[in-house]
Amino acid sequence: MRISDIFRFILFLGIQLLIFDNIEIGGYINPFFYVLFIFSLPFDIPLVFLLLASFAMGMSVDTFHHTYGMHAAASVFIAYIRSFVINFLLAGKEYDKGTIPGIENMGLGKYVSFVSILVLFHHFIYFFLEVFRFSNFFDTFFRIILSSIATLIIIIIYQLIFSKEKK
Amino acid sequence: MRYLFQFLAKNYPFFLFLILEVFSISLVIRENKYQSAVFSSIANSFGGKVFSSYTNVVDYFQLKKTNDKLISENAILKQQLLNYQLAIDTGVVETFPPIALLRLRNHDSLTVLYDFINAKVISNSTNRQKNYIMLNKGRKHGVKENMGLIGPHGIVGVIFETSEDFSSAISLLNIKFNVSAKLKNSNEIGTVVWDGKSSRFGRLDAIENYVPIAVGDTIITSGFSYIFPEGENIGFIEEFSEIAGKSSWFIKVRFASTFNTLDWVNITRNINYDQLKKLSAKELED
Repeated sequence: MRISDIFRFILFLGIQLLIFDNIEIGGYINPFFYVLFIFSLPFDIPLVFLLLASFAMGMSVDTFHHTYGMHAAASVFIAYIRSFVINFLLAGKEYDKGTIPGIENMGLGKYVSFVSILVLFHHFIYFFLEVFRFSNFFDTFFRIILSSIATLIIIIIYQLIFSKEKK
Repeated sequence: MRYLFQFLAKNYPFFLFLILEVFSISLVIRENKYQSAVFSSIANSFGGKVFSSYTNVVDYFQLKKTNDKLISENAILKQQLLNYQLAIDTGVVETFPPIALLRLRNHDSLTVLYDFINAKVISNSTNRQKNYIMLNKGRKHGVKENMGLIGPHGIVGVIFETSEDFSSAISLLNIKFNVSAKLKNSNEIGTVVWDGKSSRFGRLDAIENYVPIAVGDTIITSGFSYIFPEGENIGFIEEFSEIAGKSSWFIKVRFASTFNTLDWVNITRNINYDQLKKLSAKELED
């Protein structure tokens, strides 16, 4: 855990609560921007820290949303499968210590697939925990797809604006 | 035993993962019980502070809009007062002692007294399945659990949790919420629930299909829950149809309140709530 990770934790949590929770598109779409925090932890972070940090993030969002455990469960899950997805996409490519996954070091295509796979898993778990039933399956499915697309677009835009140029 | 420890040590991230998942999902399942026990007070007061300073900033930019809203609400209240005065003058209603802020309802049957605490919405959501409203008034101001929340156009929720300075309410837009309602025209009793889809529409259940209804009919609170005064607006019938094989209508309700623009609300306090609740519990036991 470095200072910049903690800073990002607070920043992304703040952006989620104060901006994206107040945005409304048709009542079906609820982008969860904060998951970018989990994507932006360094490649070489030990899995234990990754899990604990994601749990802390999920729990914080839960606390503010009154959704005890839902975001935490979804966040811990994608934190756990993150390394598998990275290995699958990048096939054991080596990075410098402390490198943060981003468009500049993964390439746009790889980064988009990385984010979309994890966002889909996250939203799938979250929305099904939220309704807690499989009736109205397609209703929930529709929400998952739309919200995932919204989250993905927001994350990519954020990355395109704020990611650093290749050194 | 040693092998077990070795196995655990080797795979500890996986076990940590399992523990965290089990913990989160058990939280989801126990939901409300647990949240009120541990997190609520911390979350409520900390969250309240964050959200209220945020609203302070946003408020500044909405001063004009708020002002307009207040003026129009004032006008409606003045009109009501005038009508009321007229009714007293013409002897339709007997006069009540002029207690400030007290409003009398049901004066011919059961006397239920309500007064109002006015509060500002500091956080509100409409796009989840379980939506909540956070308010800037808490225990210090006399807010308690099970008080109703009435917006400028109709009811919006019920308080379920309070801290010293803030309180949280279950929004009408919550799939766990239901409220005892009746049709204004026929006094027929039903229940209004939300199906988790659009923030503008809900459903009115348990109206038998021999009851004549029409699109546009007003649905009001029944007053039977002792949470809301009788006769507060809930919504209007948007459309209705028969359900095959059932003797009740399917009724789609357009909510009177617009939840997206909620700003100021009144918290209703039933002065006799505890007494009434105790009495009705007694009835059940017998």
